[in-house]
Amino acid sequence: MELEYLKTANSLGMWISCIPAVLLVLYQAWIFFRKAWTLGPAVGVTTEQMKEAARSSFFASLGPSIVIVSGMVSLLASVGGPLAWMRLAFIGSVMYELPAADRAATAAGCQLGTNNMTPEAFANCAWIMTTCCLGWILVSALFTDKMETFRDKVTGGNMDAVVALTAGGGVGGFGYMVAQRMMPFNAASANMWSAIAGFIIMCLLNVYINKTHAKWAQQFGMTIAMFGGMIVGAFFLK
Amino acid sequence: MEEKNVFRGEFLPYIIKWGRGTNLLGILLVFGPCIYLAMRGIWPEWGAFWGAFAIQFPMLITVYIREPISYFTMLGVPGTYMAFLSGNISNLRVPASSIATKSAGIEEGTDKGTITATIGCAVSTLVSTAFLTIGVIAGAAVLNALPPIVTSALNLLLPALFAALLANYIFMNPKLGIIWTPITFLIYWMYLKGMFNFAGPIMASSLPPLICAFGAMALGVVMAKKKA
Repeated sequence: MELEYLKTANSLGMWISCIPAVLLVLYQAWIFFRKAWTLGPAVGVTTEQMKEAARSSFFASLGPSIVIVSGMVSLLASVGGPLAWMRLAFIGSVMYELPAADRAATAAGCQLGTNNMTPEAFANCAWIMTTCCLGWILVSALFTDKMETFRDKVTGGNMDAVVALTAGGGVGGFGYMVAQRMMPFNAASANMWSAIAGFIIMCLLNVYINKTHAKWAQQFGMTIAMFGGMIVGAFFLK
Repeated sequence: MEEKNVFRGEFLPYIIKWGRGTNLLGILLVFGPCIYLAMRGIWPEWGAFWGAFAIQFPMLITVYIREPISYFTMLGVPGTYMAFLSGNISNLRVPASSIATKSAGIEEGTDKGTITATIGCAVSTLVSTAFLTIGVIAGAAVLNALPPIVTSALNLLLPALFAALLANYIFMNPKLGIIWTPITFLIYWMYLKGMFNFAGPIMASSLPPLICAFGAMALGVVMAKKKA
């Protein structure tokens, strides 16, 4: 039996109201892609390099996309198909959306995925999920160009400094995320072992790439490390 | 010099104009479901709305600022517009941009790297949207049919992906990576021990990743400028 509020949540009107936002995401990706593809050669990127870039990001996106879809299942059961689909294709991310919906339902005195959810409580979920994602899009819409100016100022046009800034963002940002998944240390933690294995496999592949410039390793390296890490970690799953 | 002109004179202005426009339009479109519910006469109870908002919003306010700034150096201007419109930034957009650039044999963060990062980010957007659409149509039934061990294993893709990305950034600047990676672990350890509690409940969890990202960027720039 479908819960009463999910009938509203999965209605045709709900689908129609969600489609424009997702189309906007696709439209933006398409026009940016086209512009980069047309002007790439004039900036010094060959068509071959662009094809390589498109191909490898396609393959590397498959794994994380499956993870996103599997995360959508819990959201799907809580807020219905259209809203879950729209919020994960548009600004959102599972780790923010589910807690947001849960808090909104609780504040309305209800519980997600149960019969005591009223249409008003569902509306509260929709409003909270919507208003609480505005910050990201507002900051990116208004300040992205300023960040570019700021970066130019900090690096003073020194190309080594620009690259170091990117490497710093990566080491600092992902270092912390890896630490979060590895600590506190526990020898039986599947998360820790998949991180360690992913790290080692990628290091070995990097050494190999630097030596041989092998195309396959450049293209599939990240995917190999990702799935390799997962397989090693899976041995530690209880 | 010609290459620089096309990038600064034509590519970036186009991206900024359309990026800002589409993201601002996104602010309107995201209200679609709320408007539909309102048209059917279904409104939230405003007391409940403000109650949830008061908990959710303060938790996110530092994230709104921290994420765009710290991911910007990896995504570039076009990638930042795209990533913050489509979401799933650290787990998909940053890896896709980074892999696209690396596989083309181009240095990340440069003008050429911004072109390949744009292509990578756009392709990842098309792929993930297609997957989500198939997933939502195939429905929870199919996904629920997966044995639980498969779902738990899938969740292990992310730690491996983050660690692989970390490895790549260490190789990009080994000296910085070797110095700073242990520091990120130390900072997280300090967070676990409650050493950031002095900053209050909201800042205590935002401060450590901020120090990690900005500290590494600052050290990287100082080291590069010293060399020059």
